[in-house]
Amino acid sequence: MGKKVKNSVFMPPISRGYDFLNKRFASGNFNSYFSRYRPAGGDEDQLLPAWEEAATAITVLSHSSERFLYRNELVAHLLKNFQDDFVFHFFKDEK
Amino acid sequence: MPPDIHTTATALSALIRYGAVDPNDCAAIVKKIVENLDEDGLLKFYFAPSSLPSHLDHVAMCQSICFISDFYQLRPPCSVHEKLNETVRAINARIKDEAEDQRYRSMYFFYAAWQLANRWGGELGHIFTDMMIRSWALNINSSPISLAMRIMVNQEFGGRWQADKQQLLDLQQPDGGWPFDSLFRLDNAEEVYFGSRIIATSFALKALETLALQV
Repeated sequence: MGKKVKNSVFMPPISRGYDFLNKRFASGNFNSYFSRYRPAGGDEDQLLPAWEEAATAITVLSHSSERFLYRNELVAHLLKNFQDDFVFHFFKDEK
Repeated sequence: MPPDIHTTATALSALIRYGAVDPNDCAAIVKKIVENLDEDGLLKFYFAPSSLPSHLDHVAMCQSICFISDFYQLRPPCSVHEKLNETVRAINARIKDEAEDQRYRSMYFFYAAWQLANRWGGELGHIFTDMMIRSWALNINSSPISLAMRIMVNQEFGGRWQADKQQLLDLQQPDGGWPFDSLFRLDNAEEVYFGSRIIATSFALKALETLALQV
């Protein structure tokens, strides 16, 4: 990681928004951030590594490779977890 | 079909765009999705059907169609195109006379229909646009994702977006991000949701940049 993230004090709204995203991803701990889940009857949010939300964010921000500094890392992260996680396994089990 | 087919489809759509996934893997999954139509022409899969609202299966179908569109770059073979037509007509027949139906109230459905309306022309394009507009009318609130979606749709269709833009800007937090919002929320159980500030911020930025490109 170690990419340069600018100071956001006097930035315009769009730049401040990307500054927020880039700081969130600067730690490289992508799993922690993607989804807050409140189950039925629950009184506390849970954090989930939600591939669907990761993929949605990548898709929504597909135009902004220069401003969203961690897009390629996020794609790599999604791919790694996609291959290792349950999604393909369902297909393997299907006849 | 697997219960999380729409997650697979959504993830693969993103990965295809960046050339990050093996096309051979995708081809097998596309084949499996397209071959799994039931007698009504609907794709078969999903969660435990009795425990979740029916609009989720339509979201899943729309996401699957997005993935297939990306895979074939909007030029599927005739046999696949005919099956997509069949599925979309079946979805439309189910919901076209139900303006207040739950599925239209889903922000996720709104987003999926918007993506498809942007991709397809012809009969499919008209159907998706109609789905999107119906959903748009029922998703009027001041959450960041709802505001962002309305700005993008109004910008495309010549509607008014100025007030929504100001509301969206007013919601920006001191750290630069937007407040938590959810794309996926079960309408019959408001306390169940998936979301994040990252998703809300991504949509807000997309909407503001769409407007900035028009200036």
